[in-house]
Amino acid sequence: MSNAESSVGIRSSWAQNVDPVTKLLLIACVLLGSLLYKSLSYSLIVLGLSVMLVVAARIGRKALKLIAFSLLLIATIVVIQGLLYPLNQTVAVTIFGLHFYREGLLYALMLSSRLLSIIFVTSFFIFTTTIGENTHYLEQIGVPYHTVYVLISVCYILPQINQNMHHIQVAQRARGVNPQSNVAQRVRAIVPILVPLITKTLMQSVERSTALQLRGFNNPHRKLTGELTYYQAENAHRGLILLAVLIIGWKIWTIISKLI
Amino acid sequence: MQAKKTTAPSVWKFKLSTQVLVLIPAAVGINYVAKAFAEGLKLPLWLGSLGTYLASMLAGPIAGAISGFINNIIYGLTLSPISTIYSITSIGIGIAVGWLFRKGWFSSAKKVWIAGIIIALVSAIISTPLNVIFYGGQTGVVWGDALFAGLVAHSTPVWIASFIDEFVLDLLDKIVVGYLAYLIYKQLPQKLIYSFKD
Repeated sequence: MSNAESSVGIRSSWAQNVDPVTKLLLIACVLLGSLLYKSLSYSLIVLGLSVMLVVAARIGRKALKLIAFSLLLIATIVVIQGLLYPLNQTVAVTIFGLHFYREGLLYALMLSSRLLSIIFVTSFFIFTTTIGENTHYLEQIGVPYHTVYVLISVCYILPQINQNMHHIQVAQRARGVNPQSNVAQRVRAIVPILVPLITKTLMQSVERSTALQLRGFNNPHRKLTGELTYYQAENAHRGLILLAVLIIGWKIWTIISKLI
Repeated sequence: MQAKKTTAPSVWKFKLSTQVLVLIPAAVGINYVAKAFAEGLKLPLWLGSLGTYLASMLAGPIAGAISGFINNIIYGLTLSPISTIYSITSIGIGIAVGWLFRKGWFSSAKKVWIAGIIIALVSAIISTPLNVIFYGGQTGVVWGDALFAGLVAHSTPVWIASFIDEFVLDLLDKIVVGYLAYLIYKQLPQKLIYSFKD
């Protein structure tokens, strides 16, 4: 989620006029489909649609950066499945004397397109919403503020933890703890930094709870300021929930029809 | 079930107090930092469940499970989309740690490694089907995947090879995290520990 606050009401792109919950439901549908269907053509269609979504939202470059994390994994999937997939029969290509099989490569293509479509659809949420917008909207549609607080405060706590870690690292280095050495020494170097860092984080969380209680966080008569409006939000939610039901229903139907 | 006469609180007792509410994001933050540490120091471990362990130990299995679940959702929606899938594993880890802690398996250093084995087993059992569905059985950790490739090459069924790959990695990770959590918990101020008990 980008840190910049959104200009609610005068949003520049169509993607920002789609509400955050619709984007989350879209991720849920893609995850559900990946979990239930083991078909290459299905995975390729979903991948194609998610690429179109990312391109249309003009976040292609950012989404590609997110993929960089998974490239090594995808490469190992192609190598391992291409060489060792149990159903391998037809040699597709031989490189340095190693036989890569057609069946394994197609299976790897299916797995990779599943992973890539999850990443693309998630990047649609990540790069087109902001923390402030998500907090506000979730509370607006009736998610309890306790839950919203838990979800959103992580985004604010992380920079604080990073700052604490920097202070502790500097302090430990001044005391002579050297983090650059062999594995055993590196593991030992974790303890004098991690232990005070975590203790401090937990202490600060207790202080935060006292502050929240004093400021009336549990007050049942909270009021929201301003309402966010999006394009066809409720219809989009209904449509995607229906899609999720269809994905599950179709799977159940295929299982039952095989049994009959 | 046989009724007990003791007045000890139930393992599953859970109240979403403000303390627990702020503990959950802190636990997610700890997971994040510990994971960044392991990656930064190029350790063959994840350490990404340290916060979940501590949340379970301080506030019980349900709080731990919620921390683990939210951790993966947040991580998935910010940095690594694929980690969303493993939110189910984190729920299992949170519940296992909280239960084992309240049953006394974190009371001495001699017991922690046994707790680590049980937690690794829970984690591997939940993760294996996910690894098979999404990665064809791999875990994404190079030396674990080398073991997986070796096993599959010797005609071991994918499910068993994937389970062994995951379990070997989890075993090391969950025992090390178990000892780290035990060490940290012992050093926490009593005031802090009691603030999470009614």
